[in-house]
Formats: sequence, C-alpha cells, structure tokens
Amino acid sequence: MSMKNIRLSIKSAIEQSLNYADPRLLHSRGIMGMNQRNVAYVARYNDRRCYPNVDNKLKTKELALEDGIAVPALIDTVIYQHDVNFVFETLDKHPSFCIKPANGSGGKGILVIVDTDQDGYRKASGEHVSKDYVIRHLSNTLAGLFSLGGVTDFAIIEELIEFDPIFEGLSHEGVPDIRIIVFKGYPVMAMARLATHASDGKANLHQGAVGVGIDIKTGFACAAVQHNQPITHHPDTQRSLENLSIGGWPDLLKLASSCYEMSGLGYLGVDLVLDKNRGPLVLELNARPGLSIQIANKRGLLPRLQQIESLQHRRPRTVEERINYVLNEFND
Amino acid sequence: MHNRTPFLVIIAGLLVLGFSNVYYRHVEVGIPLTPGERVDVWQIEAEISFDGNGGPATASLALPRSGQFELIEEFTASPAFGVNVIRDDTHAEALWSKREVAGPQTLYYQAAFTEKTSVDSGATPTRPEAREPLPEPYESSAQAILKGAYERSGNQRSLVAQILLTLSSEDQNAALLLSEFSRTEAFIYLMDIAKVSSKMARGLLLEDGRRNQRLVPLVKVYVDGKWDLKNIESGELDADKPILVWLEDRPSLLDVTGGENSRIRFSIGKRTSSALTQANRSGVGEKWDFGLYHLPITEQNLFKGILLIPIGALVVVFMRIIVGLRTSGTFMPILIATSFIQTELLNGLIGFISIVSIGLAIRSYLSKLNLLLVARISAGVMVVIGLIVLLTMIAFQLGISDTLKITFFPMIIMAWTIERMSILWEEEGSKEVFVQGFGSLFVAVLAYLCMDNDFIRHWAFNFLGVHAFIMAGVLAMGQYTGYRLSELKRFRPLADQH
Repeated sequence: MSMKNIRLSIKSAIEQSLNYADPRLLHSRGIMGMNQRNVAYVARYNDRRCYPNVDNKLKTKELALEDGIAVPALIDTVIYQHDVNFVFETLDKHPSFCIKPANGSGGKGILVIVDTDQDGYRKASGEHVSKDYVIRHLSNTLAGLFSLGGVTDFAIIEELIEFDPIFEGLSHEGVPDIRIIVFKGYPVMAMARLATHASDGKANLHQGAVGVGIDIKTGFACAAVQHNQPITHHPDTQRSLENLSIGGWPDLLKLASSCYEMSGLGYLGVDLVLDKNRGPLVLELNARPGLSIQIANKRGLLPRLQQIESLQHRRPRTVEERINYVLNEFND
Repeated sequence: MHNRTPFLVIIAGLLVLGFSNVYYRHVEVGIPLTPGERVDVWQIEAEISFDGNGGPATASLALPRSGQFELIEEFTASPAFGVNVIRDDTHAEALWSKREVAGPQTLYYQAAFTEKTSVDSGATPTRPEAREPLPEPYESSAQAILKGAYERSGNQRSLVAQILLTLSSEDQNAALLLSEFSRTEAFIYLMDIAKVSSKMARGLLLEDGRRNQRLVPLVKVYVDGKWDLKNIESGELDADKPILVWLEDRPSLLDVTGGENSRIRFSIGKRTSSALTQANRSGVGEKWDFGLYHLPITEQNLFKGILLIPIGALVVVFMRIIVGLRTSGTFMPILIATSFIQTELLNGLIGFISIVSIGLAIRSYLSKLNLLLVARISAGVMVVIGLIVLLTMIAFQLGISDTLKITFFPMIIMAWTIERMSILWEEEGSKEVFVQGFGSLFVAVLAYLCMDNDFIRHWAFNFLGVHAFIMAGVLAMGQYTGYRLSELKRFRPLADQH
C-alpha cells in the first residue's frame, strides 16, 4: 500500500466517523455556507433601512396591499395591554384565526386557532386552549417575548388560511408553505415545507419538518428531505412526495418576484401559502433566509446567485422579464 | 468583489502596531516574554566606617556609573547625617555630611543591580598622551618587553595578549619592572607606550554571600573598537563571576574629611526576582512606556480583568464563525467564563448548572402565573439571587464556603439565560436547550481555559499590542466566507450525491 493510499484511507475513515463532508467538494457543488451568506449576500444586498419592511409584519402587510400583492386578510391588531380583553369582541365573529407577533422571528409566537367550540379554542394540533391562554399569549407578545431583541411588540390577528387541497395529506397539524429565495428580484430556488408530527406542526426544517425541493422552472417536486436524510413519502401520512406539483407556478414566481420591489431587499426569502379560495398569498418575508433549501433541493445556491450577479442590465427588469429569464435561462 | 485593500491595510496596520508595541515593551522596557522569567539581582552593601574628629565631617563615596549593570534601587542608612546622592554626566557620588562628628561612625550605602542584556560599548577614547619615560633601568626593560611582544604579534589584540603573557612569565625584564611597579601599573605604562588606550578601573567580583570584600584593581583596554576588562593581578577573568566596575577615571573611592581611620567594606548578596517586577521597577516614572503599572493598584486589577475579555471574545468569534457552535446569547459565555475565573472551574460549573436547572424548574411554575415579561424576568433575577443566597448558606453550613464562591455569577445574565432557555424549551423542545446550553458552557469553559492561562494573562496585561493582534484576528474572521465546521456535517448529504 503506497503512502498516498494510506493517507486517503485515513482521510476517508475520518470523514466517515465524523461524518464531515470535504469542503472542496461542497465548494465545487456551489453550496453556500452561513458565513458566505452573511458577508457576501445579506450584508451586501440587504440595506439595513429596509429591514423593518420585512421584520415588522404589519408594515409588510401595508406595503403589500399598496403594491397589490395578495396577503392573508387582517382581522385586528392589538397594540396596548388593555386592548387584550376587548379583542375578544372581534374574535367572537371569527371561529378560526391566527395570532402573530408583528416583529416575530423564526416562526416564534404564532398561535393558530382552527376552530372555536364549547371546549374553547382548538389549536391545529387538536388540543383545546382556554381564553386565558389566548390572553397570556397576547400579553407575552406585547411584552416582546417573541420579538427580535425583546423590545415591546404588538400582535396582529389574521384570518386563517384554508390551505389548498394539493397539500391534502402532506402536512401534519400545520400550514404547509412554500419558501422561494428571491435574489435581486429573480426567484432562484424554491421548496415546500411540510409540518410533521416530529416538528410539532412547525415548518422549520431543523425541527423535523419535511423539505420538498421544488423545481424553479416547473413547480414539480424534485427531492425531499427530513432530518437531512432523503425521503420519498411523508413520514406521518405515508403519502408520496414525488408526485407533488404546484399548479399555477408562474403566478407564484411573479408574486415572489414582486416582493423585491416592495421590500427593497436584494437577498430575500418569500414565504407563500396556497389558499383554497384566494390562491397564492405572501405569508411573510425574511431578510436572512436559511440554507436548508439547498439540502431540500440537493443543490447549491451559489451557481444561480452568481449567474444573476453577472447580469449587467442598465434598465431595471420588470417582474415579467425576470420570470422569463428564470424560466428560460436557468439550466438544471 | 468589493475592494478589499482598505480592509487589508487595516489588518496590516494592526499587526504592525501590535508588533512594534510588543517589540518596544520587550526590548526597550524589558518586559519578559514569559511570566515566570527570573533575573539575578545583586544586592551590594558598602559599609563605611571612620572616627570623627569632633568637628564637621563629610564622606564622599564614588558610585558606579551605568555600564554593564543597571541600578534598580539604592538606599542610604546613616544616623543623623545629611545624605545627598549626586548623579550627573561626569560623576556619581553619595555625599554624607554632619556638623559635629565625634567617635566611631558607620554609614551604609545599599544598591541593587541587574545585569543588562544589551551593553553600551562606552565612549571612544582619546589617543594616549605621551608619557614621561620611566627612570632607568626600568624604561629599557619596558621597551624591551614591548619590542619582544611586538615581534611576536600580528595585530593590536595579540600585542596586548603578548604583553600580558610576558608580564606573567619568568622574563627578566618583566621581573625587573615588577620589582618597582605593581603589575597593573606596569601594564598601563606598557599600553601607553604601545599607543593602546587603556585605563585603570576598580571593581567588585560578584559572588553570592561574600562579606568584607574590597574593590580589585582592573584595567580596561580599548581593542578593536570596544573596551575589554582585564584583571591583571590575578590573570584571567572568571566567566562565572561577573564584575561590577565601581570606579574608573577617578582615583579615590572614599574621601573622608573631618575624620580618620576611614575604611570601606563591601558585602554582596544575590537574589532572583521576577523579571517583570524588575522591568517595571526600573521603568517607574522614567517615561511613557505603554504600561499599566503607573496606575493605582485598584485600576490595575480592574484592567487585569477587563483586558482578558478580548481573549474571550476571540474564542467566541472563533467558535461561532469557524466552528459554528450554537450558544445561547452571543457573549453570555464570556461573562460565565469571567465568573469561572473567580470561582475556579469545577465549582463554577456545579454552581452554574445547579442554579440554571433549579431556576428553570421555578421558571416553569412562574410561566403558569401569567406574568408580563418584564415582571417575569425581574422575578427570575430575584429567584437567581435567592438561589445564590441559599446555596451560599448551605455551603457555609457544610464548611465549603471558601470553595463555593457562586456570588460572582452575573445575576442578570443568569436570569436572562434561564428565561431564554425556558422559552427555547417550550418552542423548540428540550434537545435544542441541551444543544445551546452545552454549546454555551463548552465555549465558556474554553474561554475560561484561555483567559486563566498565566502566559495569556501576562501577555494581555503587559503587552497591549496583543490586543491589536486580537482585533486583527477578529476582523479577519469577520470576512471569512468559508464553511463552518458544523456545516461540513450539515451539508454532508449534498456531498454524497453523484
């Protein structure tokens, strides 16, 4: 055995036992790391002044309405502690609703009530909670428990989304959403996030949600992962994930792409939901979208980001031009 | 890509700043590079005694000038005498004086010296003046010795060596010359007629624990551009016994007026002392030396703590950017690490884990009370204080209060840590709490190990330039766009596909 073979076998043994990937291999596949995202994309393309446009969900909603971007309907807002008791007058008219902190981050502090019956408020998990629970949740939200940096916040109450039957049996106890990374107005990568029992109804991949990579040109599922491992079926419902395809895909791309002008952020994560009645809606925007989308798609972000960066247009492109570019110029 | 030049210039500037500061502090001020470095300090006491005549008396003692040794401190002890230590460009002396002096008197001069690392070569001499020839037959012998030595030598250095050799041999001319003159006097004369600059000096052979020592006659010869010290009377110099040149260019060591039977004895002692203490002692008040030793002790102690924080910050930056460890609160680990310094590691870990876990249990009850956030955090702070009081009391009862100093924990930080972890527990589950909790503790322990290291403490406090290095390191890591170690694991599935 030559020295080189010995070295290689030691190296692969280390990689096997520690389960580390070779950084050069990751680099050659265009996988973006957190540091690169922060330095080369978030810090460079996202103007600090525009952050409130996405961090404050109420502001996002106002901007979206101004630009004619579809968003879930607003029921009410709670700004002061003493309003907490009065909000129930409005809530009585809505059997289902969703409470969100205006400045929340990472899906924290979102309370989803799917129905109101004689046992109280029913959460997505089927568990019933009391009025006191809702009051406490609102108080916590106003005190800033869920907000970035713990500053005082306010709560927004939205109509609950009735999700599209295409996700029937694909999401356990939670709203499935579609995350699209939009770079300089060009949608570059997409995935559907499906809640599981393990993720407790949440759509965060690191909590055990299923990530389904969606082909950016067609809207068809291309790969699926849970806990970083490839899967073919939803772990709770056993429904096949491979046949998932999202209808009206170009409309979703246009909606996501138009969030670029609205928010002013160059590197943006757009979270969409498909409402049975209203079609695609913008749920929220994220100025620091995560990197799990690469695992769900089994491909790196960098090649497409660099392709967009190399474009030299003097006149800003319209949404339609950008979507056409994405549909025609991205290669697989 | 953005223009990286200004960034690289700043990094380079910081490195240059750091290096020059460390160089200055080490070479010019003499701060040792390691904390434990010792230097030999020679303590020399001159005891002067004389009998007073009843009238006014003055005693003047010549003091050594700066040469191969550096004066660290000096004292004089002399009952009822006025003392004046005079040092100027040309001479150095201690002057005692008193109006009425009768009977035996004893005066003391004490000084401590360290050997210099760098020796100044001394002034270049003027050419020796022509001397009156010696009376015959000595002049002829001297000329004969010189002539013989000249023939047997090739340059100035070997000429000096030959003359010395002849003086200590059985040579007849040498014997004749030495019958009238001392070996040193003869040598000086021979040097003069050979046109080699030389001068008489007297010095002290330094040896630990010697008493009743006298100055030995020495000769300094200027050869090849520097002064060589030679002990003509006893031949070669002993390399192990350094010589402190006490006197040169001046004939008398001690002048006493108004007294008689004056004599002087030296005693010599050696002690080792921390090189750091010596460097700072000799530097005090001299000049601006970029050191913190001029500050009052309380401020110094404060800075000893504060200047460790950049070390902790460096560890945190490294662990988060390069390794990719998750911690609860960015700089919480540094604060925990600083309290570990006070409590010792094991006690700190036990105290921290017990307070946080009991706190989490109490917090889970508090959350049922439906409190507003600010009130709940404040309640958390009080719970932490209560736990610290309780644990300290228990420790006192058990007689281990000295070891369990948990009062040093930053209470507000602990309360926030408990609050954050409890929210994390509710939202993300217990696994994330353990990941972040142990991530924080791991970084805290690592930061503690770096900050508690004697060597690092020494550098952080004595070489402020180190902080420029740290700044450069933090800035450089701030532009690191490579993968984190944790990402190599996270993206492993992407490397496996083909």
